[in-house]
Amino acid sequence: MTDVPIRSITISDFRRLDGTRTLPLDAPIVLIHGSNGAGKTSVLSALELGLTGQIRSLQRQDPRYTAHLPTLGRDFATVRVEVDRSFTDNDGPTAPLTAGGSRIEGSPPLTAEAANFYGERCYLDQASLGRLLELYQHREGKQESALAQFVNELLGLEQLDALRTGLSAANDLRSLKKLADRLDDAATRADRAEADLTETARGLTEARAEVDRARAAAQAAARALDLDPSESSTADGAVGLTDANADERVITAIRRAVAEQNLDIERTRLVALQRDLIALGGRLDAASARPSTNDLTQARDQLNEAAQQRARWDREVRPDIEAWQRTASTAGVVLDTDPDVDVARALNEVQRLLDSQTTLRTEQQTIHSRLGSDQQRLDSLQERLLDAQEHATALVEGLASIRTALTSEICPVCDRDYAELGSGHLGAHVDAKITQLSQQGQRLLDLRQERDALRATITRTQTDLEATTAALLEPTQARELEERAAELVRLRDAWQLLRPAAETGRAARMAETQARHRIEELETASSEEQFARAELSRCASTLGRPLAEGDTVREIWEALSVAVRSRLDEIGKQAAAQHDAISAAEHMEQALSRQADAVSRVADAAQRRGEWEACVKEGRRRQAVARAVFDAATEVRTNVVQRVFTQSLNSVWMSIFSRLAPNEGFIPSFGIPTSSKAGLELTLRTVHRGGREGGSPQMMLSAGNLNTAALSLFLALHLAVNPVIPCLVFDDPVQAMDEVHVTQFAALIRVLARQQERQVIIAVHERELFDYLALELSPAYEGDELLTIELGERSLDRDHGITRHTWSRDAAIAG
Amino acid sequence: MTGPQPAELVMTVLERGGYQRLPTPLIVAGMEFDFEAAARGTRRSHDLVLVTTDQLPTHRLQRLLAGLARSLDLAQSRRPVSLVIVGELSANDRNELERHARVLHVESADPSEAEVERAIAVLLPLDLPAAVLMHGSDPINEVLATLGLGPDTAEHIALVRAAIEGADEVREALRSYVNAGVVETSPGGTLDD
Repeated sequence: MTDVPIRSITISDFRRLDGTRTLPLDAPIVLIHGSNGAGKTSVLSALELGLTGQIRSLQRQDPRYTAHLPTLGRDFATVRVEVDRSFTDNDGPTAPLTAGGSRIEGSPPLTAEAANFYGERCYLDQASLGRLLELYQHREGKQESALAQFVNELLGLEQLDALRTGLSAANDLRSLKKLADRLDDAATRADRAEADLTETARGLTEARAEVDRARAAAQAAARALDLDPSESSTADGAVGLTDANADERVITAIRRAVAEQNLDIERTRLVALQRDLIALGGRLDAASARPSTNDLTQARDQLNEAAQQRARWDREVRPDIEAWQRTASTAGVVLDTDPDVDVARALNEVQRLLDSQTTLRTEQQTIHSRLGSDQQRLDSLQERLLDAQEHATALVEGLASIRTALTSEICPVCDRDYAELGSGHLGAHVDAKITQLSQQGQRLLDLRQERDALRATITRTQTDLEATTAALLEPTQARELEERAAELVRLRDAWQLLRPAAETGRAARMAETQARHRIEELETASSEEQFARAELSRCASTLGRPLAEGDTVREIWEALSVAVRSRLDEIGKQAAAQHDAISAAEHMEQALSRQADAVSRVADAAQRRGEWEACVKEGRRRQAVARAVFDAATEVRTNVVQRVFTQSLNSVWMSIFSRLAPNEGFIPSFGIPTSSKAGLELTLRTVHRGGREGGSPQMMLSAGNLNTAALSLFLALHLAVNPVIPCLVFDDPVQAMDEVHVTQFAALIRVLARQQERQVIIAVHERELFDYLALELSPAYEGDELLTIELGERSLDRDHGITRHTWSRDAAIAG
Repeated sequence: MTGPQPAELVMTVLERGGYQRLPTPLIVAGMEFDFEAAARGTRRSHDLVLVTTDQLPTHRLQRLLAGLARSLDLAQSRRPVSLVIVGELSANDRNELERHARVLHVESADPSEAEVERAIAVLLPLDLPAAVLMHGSDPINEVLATLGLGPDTAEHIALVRAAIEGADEVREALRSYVNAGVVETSPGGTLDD
C-alpha cells in the first residue's frame, strides 16, 4: 500500500526519545506499543509537530511548551515527517522542523488547511479524549464553541445567513423604508397625495354646496325678475334643474332680462322730471306767498285812489311847501330829508356865531389891559438896568486900576492906613470889592433876561390882540347875522304849520307806490300759474298720465310728484332686484367655475394618488418578492439544519456509538437547533432507543460510555466532512473501555481503514491489547499491511521493534 | 415464531453486509465445527463470523469455540473471529466465550431484523450519508429551487446572487432593487435624481 498520506517520521532528541529514530508509517494501519514512559505519546506529539508545526494539546496547557520539547540536556529537538506528495505543497524532501527555546523553525509539510484538519479531525490525543465533549463545547467569550464552528462550516449556512440578514429589512415595511429611502419617499408622497385627495374632495363638496346655494339664490332672483327658472331651464328640453345647461340658461335669462329692461333711461328721465317738479314746487310756493289774482282789481282801485289823493295834494299843498323851501334855500338852509332838522341846524350855526362875537369882545378888552401893565413893567425894568449897568462898570474899572497901584495898606485914594481898621489887608479888601461888583454883574444879566422875557410876552399879547380884533365882525355884519337868526326862527315856525300837510303828501305818494308794486306782483303771479300749468302738463304727458280737470295747480303738482316718486321707488326696487339677480348670476357663475376647478383638482389629486399608490405598490411587490426569497432561505436553512443534524451528523454519531456500545440504551446526539438564528446554539443530549429524550450525555452515560460518546463524536465529525487528509491517529483510545468495547473498537477500526480508507495510527500501552489489536487488525487482503512498532526495549532489537505484517492466504478456511 | 429462524435472520443481515455464507458444518483446517451458521468477510474483510442460538448448550458452545480457536492458531490464521449468539447468555458464559472471539449478543430469542442489525452493527459496513446530504447541495440553488420558476425568477436570482458577497451586499441589492422599482414607477420619474 503506497497511497497512505503519512509515510515516515524521523525524530531527534524529542522529549522521551533521546537520539535519532526514523519510524516507517507507510501502512493502512500502524499499531504502536510502548509501555508507560517508553515515548509512545512522544512519537504521536512529534508526528503532530512534524505535520502541522505545533502541538495543540501542549499549547492548550502551556503556550511556552516549545522550550520543553528537546530531550533533557539538548538544545533542539528536530522532527521530519514524510507525507505523500499529494498532501504537501513543499517541493522535494521535507526539511526537518527544529523546536527549542521559544521557537519552532522550519515549515511543516502539510498545507495550512490540511494541518488544521489534522489537528482538529484526525488526531485524538490522550489528554483530550477524556475532555473532548468539554473542549468541543468550550466557548471563549463571544466566540462560538469549536463544535458550533465546525457545525456551521458543515452546514454551509454563511450564504443563507447572509441572504437572510441582508433581506431581513423586507420583513418589516418600516425597516425597508429606512433601507430603501425611495420607498419611504414614495410612501410619504402617496400619503400626501391621499391627504390631497381628501382635501380636494372636501373642497369639491364645499364647492357643490356653494353651487346649490348660488343656484337657489339665482332662481329666487330670477323669480324676482318675473322669470320662471324652471321654464327657462326646461325650455330646451333639458334633463333637469341641476344640469350645467340649466344653470347656464338661468344665468343667460337673468342677463338678458336685465339688459332688455334698461331702467337707467327711465330713471334718468324721471329724475329729471322730479327735479323739474321740485323746482316748480319752489316756484309754486313762492307764488302762493303773493296775493292772489283776485286781489288785482282791488289793488288797481287802491292805486287809483292813491293817485287821486296825491294829485289833490299836489294841487293844494305843494305850492306852499315849495314856497317855504325856496325861502329856506334863500336863508341858506340846506334841505336834506327833514326840514325841521335842516332849519334847526342852520339856526344853531347862526346862534353860535353870534355867541362867539360877545366872547371875543370881552377877551379883547382883557388883552388890552394886560398889554398896558406889561409895558409899564418893561419901562421900569429898563431904567433899573441902565442904572445898574453904569454903576457897576465904572466902579469895577476904577477898582481894577487902583488894585494895580496898591503896594501897601495905605489907600492910594484916601491915603489912610487901612491897617488901622484892623480888618485885614487893603488888597484883600479891594479884591473882595471887585468880586462883589462882579457878582452885581450876574444880577444885571438876570435883569436883562427878565426884560427880554417881558418884551416877548408883550409881542405875543399884541399878536393875540390882533387875532381877536380880526375875528370880531364888523357891526354891520353882526346886524345881518342877527337878522338872519330871526329869519330862521320864522322859517321854523312856518314849517311847524306846514309839516302835517307835507306828511300827508308823502303818505299819499307812498300809498300810490305800494299800490303800483302790488299790481306788478299780482301780474307776475298770474303769469307764473300759466307757466306752472304748462310745465305740469308736460310732466303729465311725460308720465303718460292725463291731467285731471278742475284740479288746482298745487293738486296736480302733488299728484304728479307722488306718481314720480312712486315710479322712482318702483324703479329703485326693480334696479335692486336686477342688481341682486346679476350678483346672484355672477356668484353662481363663480361658484360653477370654482366647482369646475374643484372637480379638476380632485381628478388631478386622484390621478396623483393612483400614480403614487402604484409606485408604492411596486415597492410593496418588491418587498413581497424579497420576502419570498427570505422565507425560502429560511425554509432552506431549516431544511439544511434538519438534514445535517438528523440525517447526517446524528445518524453517523449514533451509528458509530452503537457499534462501540451496542448495549447502551441512551444514544448521544445533537439537539436540533430550532431557532433560525444566525448563531447556532448547540446542545448535546441523549435519546433513548425507545425515542424518549434523556439528559445531557454527561448526566446519562457512564464514564466509559461517555468516553465512547466522545470518541464516536470525534469519528462522526471526522467522517462528516471531506477528508482533507484521510488519516486517524489515536493515542491510547481504549484506556477506559471494557473488553466488549475494545473488541467493538477493533472492528470499527477495520471498517474505517478498509471501507473508509483512512490511514489509522494507534498507540497503546497495554501489551495484551497490543497483541489483540495486532491480531484483529492483521492484513485482510492482498496488498494490505499492518505496521507494528514497539518502543522501549524492543527497539534495541535488530528490527528496532518494527514489524511489517503483510497478507498471506489463510489456509484455515478455504476460499 | 413467525419469521425465519434467528440464525437465518442473522445470516441474511450478514449476507446483505457483504459476508459470504460458509457451508455447514464449518470446516477449519480440516476440522468440522458444528455451528448453526457461519460466514466470512469478502473483499477487504477476512472476518469469520459464527452464528449460534441459545439452543446450543453453553458448555458445548464453549468447547466448539475453543476448538475452533485452537485450530485457527494451529493453522497460523490471523482471521478475527466474531460469535453472534441469539438468545440468553449469562455474563459468566459471555466472559468465557470472549476469551476466544468477539461476542455479539442478540438478546431476544426471536429478534427483529433491526435488533440483529444493531447487535452486529460493528461487523456491517458503515454507511455514511451521501455527500450531498452531508454537505448540503449549493444552498443558494436550493433557495432558488424552493422559490421555483416564475415571473419573479430573474429578480430572485439578482437578490440571491448577492449572498455570495455577504449580508451587506444583499442589503445593498435589496435597497437598490426596491429603490429602482419605486423610481421606475414614480409619476414622471419624479424620484429619479
